[in-house]
Amino acid sequence: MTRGRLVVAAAALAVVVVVVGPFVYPSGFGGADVAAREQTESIAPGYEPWMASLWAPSTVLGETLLFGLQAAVGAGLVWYAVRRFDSSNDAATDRSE
Amino acid sequence: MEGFLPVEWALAWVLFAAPAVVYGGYRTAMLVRDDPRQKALLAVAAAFMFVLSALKLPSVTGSTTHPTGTGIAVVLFGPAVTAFLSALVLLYQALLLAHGGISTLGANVASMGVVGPLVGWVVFRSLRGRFDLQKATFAAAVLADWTTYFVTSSQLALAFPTSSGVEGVLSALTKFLGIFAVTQLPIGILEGLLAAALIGYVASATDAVRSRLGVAA
Repeated sequence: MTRGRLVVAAAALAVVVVVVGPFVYPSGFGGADVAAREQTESIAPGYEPWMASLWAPSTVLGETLLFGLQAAVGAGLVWYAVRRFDSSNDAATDRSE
Repeated sequence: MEGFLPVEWALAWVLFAAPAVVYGGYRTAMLVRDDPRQKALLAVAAAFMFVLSALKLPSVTGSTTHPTGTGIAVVLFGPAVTAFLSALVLLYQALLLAHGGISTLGANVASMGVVGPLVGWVVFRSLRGRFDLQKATFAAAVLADWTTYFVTSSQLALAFPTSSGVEGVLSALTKFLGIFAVTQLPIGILEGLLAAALIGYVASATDAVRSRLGVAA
């Protein structure tokens, strides 16, 4: 396996981790951002957020799939770039032969 | 965290981050105009940020957190372009994933896109002459990640001090660092390893990278 394919495989693995991860550790691990929000609430108990999210995924699964989509977009870009690097290297090798 | 940062702090961080993002956008446009080969490298830098910031990884503290993925952009293009790419990634997450938020976009760009990458870039430039490319990249990515979450903790401490004065801010900083810093220690190291591996590959594969970073073929 070339190093380029290894990079693409690692990116694909990242997508799998994003999608499968929440099912493996659904409740044992809370987000650090949630812990930070709870900390602000304990420091300033009367504080009310002045703005709400324009929208939010209605389920944990929906959020997970959207994060998976983001990782997939990133992995696709890595794949595109690696293909370009590999093809330009092949062309350079052909010219030198 | 939408709406959790008080309005005055949300605006202050927008004012802090905006010049870096605007200048970064200008630098990115010039980069692509002067050398179209850089498009693929920009795609790799942005993709690394997209993939890593989407990962929700469990850490030693029993909570999950995200890597930043800014290391590749810092090493290849410097802090200004990284600020621009970070703003794009964070805007995508705020609008489409309801993660982060519009009201916290300035603060998030300031930490992940401006201060963290600036520290990473200084580290990279300091180490590049003495260590090989991958070691310098590892250190830059790790420090950029850790600095990002130190700044996030500081931003929250400034907005939510436990009491008035400097002591209140420092006390709150200790509490927020307890949440973010310890969690981020192993995540930052993982991010550094991934960044070093990817930069090693692109440096071996492309003349464009070798010429940018002064690496012999």
